[in-house]
Amino acid sequence: MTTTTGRRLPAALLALVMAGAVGPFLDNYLLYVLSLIGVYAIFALGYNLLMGYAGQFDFGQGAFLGIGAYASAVLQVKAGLPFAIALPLSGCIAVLFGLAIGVIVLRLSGFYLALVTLGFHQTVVLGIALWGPLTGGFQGMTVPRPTMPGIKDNLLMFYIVAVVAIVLMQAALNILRSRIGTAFVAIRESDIAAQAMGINLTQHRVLAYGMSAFYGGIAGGLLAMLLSYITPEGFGLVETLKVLTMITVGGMGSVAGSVIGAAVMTLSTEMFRLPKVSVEITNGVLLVLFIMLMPTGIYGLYAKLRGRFARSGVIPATSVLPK
Amino acid sequence: MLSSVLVNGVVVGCIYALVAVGFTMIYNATETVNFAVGESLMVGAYLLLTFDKFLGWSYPLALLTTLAMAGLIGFVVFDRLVSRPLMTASMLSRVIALMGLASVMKGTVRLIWGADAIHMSSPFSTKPIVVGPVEISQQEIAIVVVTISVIALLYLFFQHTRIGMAMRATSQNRRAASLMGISVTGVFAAAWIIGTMLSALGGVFLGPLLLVDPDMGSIAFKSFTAVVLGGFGSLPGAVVGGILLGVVENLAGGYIRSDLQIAVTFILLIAVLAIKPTGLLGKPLAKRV
Repeated sequence: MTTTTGRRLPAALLALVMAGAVGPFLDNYLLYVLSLIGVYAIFALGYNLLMGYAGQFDFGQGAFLGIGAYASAVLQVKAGLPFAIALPLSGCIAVLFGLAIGVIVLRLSGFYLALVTLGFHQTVVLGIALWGPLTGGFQGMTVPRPTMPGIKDNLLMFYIVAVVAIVLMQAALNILRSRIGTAFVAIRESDIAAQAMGINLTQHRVLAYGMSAFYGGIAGGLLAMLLSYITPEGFGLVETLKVLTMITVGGMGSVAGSVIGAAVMTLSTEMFRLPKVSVEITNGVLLVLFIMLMPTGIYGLYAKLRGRFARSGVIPATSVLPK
Repeated sequence: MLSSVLVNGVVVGCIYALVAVGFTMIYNATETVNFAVGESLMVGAYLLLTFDKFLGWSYPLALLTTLAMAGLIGFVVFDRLVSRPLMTASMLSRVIALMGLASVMKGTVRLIWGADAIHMSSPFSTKPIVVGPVEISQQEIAIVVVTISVIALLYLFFQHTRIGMAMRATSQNRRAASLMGISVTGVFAAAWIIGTMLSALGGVFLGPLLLVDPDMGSIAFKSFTAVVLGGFGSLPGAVVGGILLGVVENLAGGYIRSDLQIAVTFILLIAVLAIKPTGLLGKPLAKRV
């Protein structure tokens, strides 16, 4: 196990150095798109931890994105905190919500779980919209951008996203290779069997919710920074659908799959400058097609071709999808 | 005040109940959680709007065509295109596919009819009739009467027709039903057709009460809650849960704040799941290992 971690750490460092070296040569638009991919990679990764690894149906992930975005914005605008403190705090606030919902749904599974998370999401969006004095209500609010003398805004944001994304990805890889990750997969395969093996179900389910909320919250804080203007409507069901499409297309139960999904979906949306209608239709069609024809996603196909799942020690979620 | 709140609650509750019954029929037959039920409702409203308002057909003809089209969508899109190929897939796969389908339906409607909300008129008068302390409009009477008749018809259908009995048998034990010579795929198709027609009817009723827009399908959350409230998988439960939810929601809306409705529904959902997860009329669930 340690060998895999050891082998991946240089890869993460290499990615950081590459991002640092390439950054200054990119134009603003490309920097924006790459940052967007980074943000959604974090978001998709958090969702994949919960859905793909721990096997918990959750259809309200967009709530954490919204909580993170608004927490970061409110902390900066109303409390006057600097971005460097507001961002981690927004992740922690999302974790509080994640733990709360994790405790609420402890005894639930399947449809009930999906339903409660769906309701939680709608309630959060409503709460943001109605809490006018703090959040600007339906009108939305402006989010300040971090600045640093001598470096242009878009490049700075790209660097921030790159560092955070790579650190969080490395953290996820390490956690998933630890006891916790193995426990998540065991719970996904059969919660009863996992319990019989001595895995603390309560602890691990709440932990999965907390972790995925943290990733969602951080992604939200970063997204608010990139967009610089946020409205409650921007964090509706569409965001959950987007991230669901990302992990389905990329590969459920795989860190690489989350990144691939985020990249493919963000690039296609940005490249073709799709309006909302076409995003809805393409996301929907992709979801249906991938579930029917390629349930393990792009990474699953790649891994099958390379025969890698046998060696990596983690069973991809979608290998058990077709029952 | 109280009586009008109660009447409104029952009327809206009837619509929740119609959709909840359709949802439960589909679940009982196919064990598929239809996450696109709200979009069936939305498409139903748009179809009626097209035939009645844009094409100027007479209301009964427009309504019949809408229901027929909804049945067709239920059969071709839901049953054949999405549900049938995933019959042996896991529940998660089917739910994801249905969420994808819901998104496609929303996008398609936005593409054809535009994103703006459209006003839908009702063939019945909205002028209130005063009966003692209760004020009720013709339109509201129509909704309640039609809902009661549809539920009565469904009861007769399940008790006395061959296909109805086949559906009940399939929901009890799919394998045994198939061994008794019941065409299980036929039962699936029937459930999707009737279920989609019921939600489209819900959309037809809901249209004049609200505005018709591509996102009106989010109302399905209310029907899901109604299903849980009444007891998952129970058809009488779906009816009771729907009407009860409509009343509770309107009481909360009338006496607390009307824009908090969705939060009230959510709290009710969590309360039911915490206190009595099997709902009012549901059977206890046991998990087979």
